[in-house]
Amino acid sequence: MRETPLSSNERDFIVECIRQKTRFDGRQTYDFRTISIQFGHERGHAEVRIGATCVMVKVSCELVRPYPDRPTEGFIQFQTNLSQMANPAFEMSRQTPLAVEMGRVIERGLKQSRAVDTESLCVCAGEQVWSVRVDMHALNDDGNLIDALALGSIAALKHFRRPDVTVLGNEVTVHPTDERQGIPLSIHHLPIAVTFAFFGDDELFVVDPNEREEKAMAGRVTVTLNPHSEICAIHKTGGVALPADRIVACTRVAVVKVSAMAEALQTALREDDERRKVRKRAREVAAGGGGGGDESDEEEGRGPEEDRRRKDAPGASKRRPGAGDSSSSSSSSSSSSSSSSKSIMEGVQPETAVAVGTIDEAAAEVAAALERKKLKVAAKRKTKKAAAAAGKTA
Amino acid sequence: MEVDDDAPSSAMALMESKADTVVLPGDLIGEVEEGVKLVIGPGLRQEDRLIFAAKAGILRRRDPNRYFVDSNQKRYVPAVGDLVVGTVIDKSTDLFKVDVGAALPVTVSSLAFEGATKRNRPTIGEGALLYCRLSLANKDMEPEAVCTNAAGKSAGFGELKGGFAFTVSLGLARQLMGARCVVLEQLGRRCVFESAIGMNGRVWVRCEDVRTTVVVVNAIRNSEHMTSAEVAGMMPRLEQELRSISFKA
Repeated sequence: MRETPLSSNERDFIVECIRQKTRFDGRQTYDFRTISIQFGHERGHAEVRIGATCVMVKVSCELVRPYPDRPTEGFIQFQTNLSQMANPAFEMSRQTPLAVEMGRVIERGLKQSRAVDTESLCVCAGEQVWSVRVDMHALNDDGNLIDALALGSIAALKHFRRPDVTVLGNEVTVHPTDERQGIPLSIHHLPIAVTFAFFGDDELFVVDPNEREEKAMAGRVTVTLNPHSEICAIHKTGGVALPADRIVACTRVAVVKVSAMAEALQTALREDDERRKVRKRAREVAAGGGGGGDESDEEEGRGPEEDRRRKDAPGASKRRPGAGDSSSSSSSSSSSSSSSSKSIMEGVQPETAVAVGTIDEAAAEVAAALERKKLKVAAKRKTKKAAAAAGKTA
Repeated sequence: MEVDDDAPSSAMALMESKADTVVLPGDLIGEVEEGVKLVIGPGLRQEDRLIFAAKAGILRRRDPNRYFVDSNQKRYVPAVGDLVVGTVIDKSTDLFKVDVGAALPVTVSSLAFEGATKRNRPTIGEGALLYCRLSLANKDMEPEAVCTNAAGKSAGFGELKGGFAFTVSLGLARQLMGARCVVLEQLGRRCVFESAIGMNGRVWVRCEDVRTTVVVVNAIRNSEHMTSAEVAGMMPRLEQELRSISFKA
């Protein structure tokens, strides 16, 4: 199947529309289409939709030897896959110039700006480092693949968790993610790309071109920035002559768009984490009440967000201040059999160790019990503080 | 309801009972009886005396004995007599190559226009939109089309100037071409526009100004999955848009 060629009627109409500050799908000049960010079951799997354009990005990692002249630096590699599924015009040959261009723009935005810390990918200097691989797949091309792929890449990198490792001398042990919580990559900032399409005249441009506008456009500028308004990369293609102030104007528009997109990304990540927490607890409850307490304990003590105990000895567990204090100080604590590893969840499990019908019911039960427990601990903290204050004055 | 028989035969009754039900490719629809005249339309296939569905869709019956499968898809397969909107992708002295979304481009001879002679050929450039009628279309040859009706008059065929063209599914295109198309009727009451509908799913619309065209194009596009009631419900919002355009102008 071939793609529909652009007729001169369409080209003239699109340009006339833009001249009159409107677009043929009803958007305004600076409007993006609806953006949706979704994450998959596995860590590092992100799907981004901008209008009908859909991309999927998958992040994976493996241990490799570093370059001899850079013994402490890990690698991050980008692979762009534009298949004919996305657009019949994409050829099946190895790497078309367009795919290479897109890959380079995204790579520059993420690597040159040092968004991902490659030093933190070092496991054993000179011997083993992590090589992170970002595979970008275009699923449907309705225009503006670059922005979708860039957003998908940073979303997948933020979502990804690498396996935990223990190094004893020269021996490296990699702990599978089902044994120990994975560790998020060290990402300093969020580079996000915004593309502008130009139509022969530097006054005529739109943000986020769709498929027809992309065919009609004469040139394109992609600005990659982070929410702190720092420019990570600027890329201009096509034969349109642009004065410098036009490019500056584009970056100003991009600043606004990027902060909105970064906000959407953070929200999507937060919601995904919530869902994972609830699902995990529901699974444990359904799998057999308090019986799974010990293994889950280590993990429940810290959510996926708060895993900072990399540097500590593996055995030590970091408790939430509230739970620790309450168990050590108050003797009336209901969950104080041993003070070594008590977390909020430990107290919850006996309460909810009842037969529950479905995972969803269990999840709801667990979430409710967690809320109740949180309130109880907060109340305990308050009474403890009041007691300490009373004790001081007394 | 049977035409010639004394009593309705069981096979015909079976076919009738299947009308307006969903059929899948490979479903046995019925059997051809002796002396019964039957017209088998698109989506149905006959093997010996048995009739099978070849497409997924709803089996429809048109009195007295016409059956076809009402289905929807986006990929166009050229058929003789279809009216299509195509884009000229190549031209030479004798002919134009026109893309209609089929597997092969359609050939339109330079002489297949009203008043065209060897000395006086139409001046149509590459990228132009053409409204034409398929004169030859089978799976073994490159399809051909002409820009005249049977009598040799242009009758609306030929180059479409200005306006905007967009793609819809084949089902929506057939609906738009139908006798009573709700969305075009409703739009026609509220604004002035010209349109050419292609059976290949390409639609061309032209209005006085750009904004009205945008409203009409989006109204047609969005009406794909709407019932008549929903289309009528869409109209007040549309009127608002059109009024705001005339204020701006």
